[in-house]
Amino acid sequence: MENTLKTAFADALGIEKEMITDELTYNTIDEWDSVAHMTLIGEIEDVFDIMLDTDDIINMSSFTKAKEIISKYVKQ
Amino acid sequence: MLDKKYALITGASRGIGAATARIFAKKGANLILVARNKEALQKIQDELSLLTQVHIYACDLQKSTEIKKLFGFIRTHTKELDILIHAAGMMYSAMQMMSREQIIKELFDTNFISAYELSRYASKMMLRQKSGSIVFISSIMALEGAKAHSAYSASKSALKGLMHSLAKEYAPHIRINCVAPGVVQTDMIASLSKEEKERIIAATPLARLAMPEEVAQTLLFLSSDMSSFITSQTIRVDGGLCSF
Repeated sequence: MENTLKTAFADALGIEKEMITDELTYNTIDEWDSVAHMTLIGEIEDVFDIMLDTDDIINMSSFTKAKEIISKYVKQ
Repeated sequence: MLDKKYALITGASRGIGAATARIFAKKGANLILVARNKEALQKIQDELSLLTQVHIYACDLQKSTEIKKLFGFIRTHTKELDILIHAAGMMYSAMQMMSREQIIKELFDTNFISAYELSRYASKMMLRQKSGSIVFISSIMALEGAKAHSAYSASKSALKGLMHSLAKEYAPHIRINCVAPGVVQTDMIASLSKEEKERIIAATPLARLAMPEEVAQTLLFLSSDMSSFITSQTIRVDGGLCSF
């Protein structure tokens, strides 16, 4: 799951996979702004075939948080 | 003009929505048609399936949970969405002193909250594609006001505010516009008396009511690349009528 999520982040934000670490946080790089966040949400929903609740979209403020949220939707 | 584009049209079982479905089908769009009345949707599906791919989905847009399910359906069946036309709407005519709170809430759920939720889900799909067009059906009453239509005018005016904000939020990828029809020859005006219709026609320079197809042609323009540099606008389709 983590590797798929990393690919989704890289594709949606247009950054190298190496940049995606647990420390990566929303709005700390130019590529992850508010509009890119919506693109990222769409990419994650598509890749994992899920529909995220609004609270989870708001709370997805870092790669670590994203892993935690996605794990609720996806069976390991 | 809309070759293979995926268009979601709400209120598609009659009036402006149905006219839009027919014109979009002729222009090559694949359709996802939404309304409450499944039988009416099936008739339109039967009519248009020879021309294009037509998916139908019956639901109540007053319920956000049903809008979420609708987008689950779209994700499963088309995976793409290029155009959203929100033509579903509810009319309510009453003087302010006679307006019931419950109906005002239903009016805002149908005319505004549904637009908010539909555009929220649609924009997620469109942003991934980095393109899309959303058009809300407002009303000239949103721009001018109208006696005995304070709640209706306000609900349609809210759409205009939403449109301007989202056009900024989702630029440059998604264009968002409104069409503001005058009085259109649909079921929605069935409650108007003959005298009221005559008064409106007399106040309209083009001296008649609009046909749903004339609004649909404007929706086609705003949905296609012919309007590629137009966003955050309200286009009036009112025959020149400027006040009620």
